[in-house]
Amino acid sequence: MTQTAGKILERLDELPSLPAVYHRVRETLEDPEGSLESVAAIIETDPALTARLLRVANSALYGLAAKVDNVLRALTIIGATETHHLVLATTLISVFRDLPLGPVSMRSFWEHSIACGIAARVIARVGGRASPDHAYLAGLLHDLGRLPLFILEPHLMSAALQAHRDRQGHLHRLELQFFGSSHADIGAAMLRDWKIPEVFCEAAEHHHRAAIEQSVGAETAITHVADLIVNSLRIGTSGTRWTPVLDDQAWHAVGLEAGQLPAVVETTIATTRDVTSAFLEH
Amino acid sequence: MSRDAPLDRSGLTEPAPPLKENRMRVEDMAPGMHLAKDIYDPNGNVLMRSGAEITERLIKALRSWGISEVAIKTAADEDPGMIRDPKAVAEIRALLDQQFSLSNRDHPMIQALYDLCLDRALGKR
Repeated sequence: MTQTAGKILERLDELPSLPAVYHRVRETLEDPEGSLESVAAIIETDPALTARLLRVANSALYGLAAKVDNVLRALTIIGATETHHLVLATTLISVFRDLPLGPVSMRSFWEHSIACGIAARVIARVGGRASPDHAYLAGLLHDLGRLPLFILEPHLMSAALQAHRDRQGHLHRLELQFFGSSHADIGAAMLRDWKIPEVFCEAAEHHHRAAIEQSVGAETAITHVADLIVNSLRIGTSGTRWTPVLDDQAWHAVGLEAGQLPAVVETTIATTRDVTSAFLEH
Repeated sequence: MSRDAPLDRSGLTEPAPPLKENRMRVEDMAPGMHLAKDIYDPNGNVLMRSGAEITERLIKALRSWGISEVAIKTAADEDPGMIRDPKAVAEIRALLDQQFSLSNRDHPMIQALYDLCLDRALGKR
């Protein structure tokens, strides 16, 4: 069956790519001459993006003290790094939002991803081992490789899901059996193709085997733990049905104690619904 | 929302989390109710402790913190959503045991997470 996997990695160009506006924002942010004013001007050329971005900026994700209705003000408050992450998340979710996924709903997929981002951010804040902004984006992007599996191979993926439901194994292992590579490899390949910073590619690639790769950053360990928590709480789903195995080294790397879990769980539950609506609803 | 769906034993399409809790959206809250759980800000810091009385001021504050829903208990009933029927409790435990069956249950973090999921499924504060 391994030829299917080769096929999937070769067929990634059948999926939508990030829109030009994302790349223009990114270039401007990386340009020493660039400014948040010019980034705001680029965003405002796209009314749909402008509306969506303001909605997300005003969601529970950022907890701003007052409602912001001006792009530049929003970007100034959240800062340049978060501006990049916000535009990436907003454009990425928008291009995939209306595609049929087959066995899981797109909303459910993004709800899982957003919950994982939010949990990762709280873990980073409480544990103090990584930047909360980076942890959030790593969590949000970790299962991206599931999208091509659902979209390009819905029947084979349904069979893999059924085997997982029947508890024949963890879904990423079954993907290896059915496709020859897992969503982790595929997601990392997509992110590298889009020139997303390496730390996020690594988190997507290794979130199921955080300890094997000794060189990976804290973001990978945090993503591993956040994914496990969100799967246990069953907030949305990207297909995984059963709680995965916790990697003990990853758990130590995030700097949390078991007694700090309620803070992560409560915050994730309290904010995910609002943030998911902000990203997805018309 | 999927979170409020009843327990699902078979469906492939949507998750049906094993929770039963007296969660309420901020716009549906009224003064005189009491918080059933601590409230955290988006950074995980405690903002309000469990048991605090809901006031108009607190509702405003929750909105400004971007918090859309919280667990509440009513003043009249200590723990309205709590499941105590031994048969129902055993059923929820069995579902959770299955949920965690491929995980490493002997790890202290997984044990703590299991207990949190159980408390939520039982509607306990």
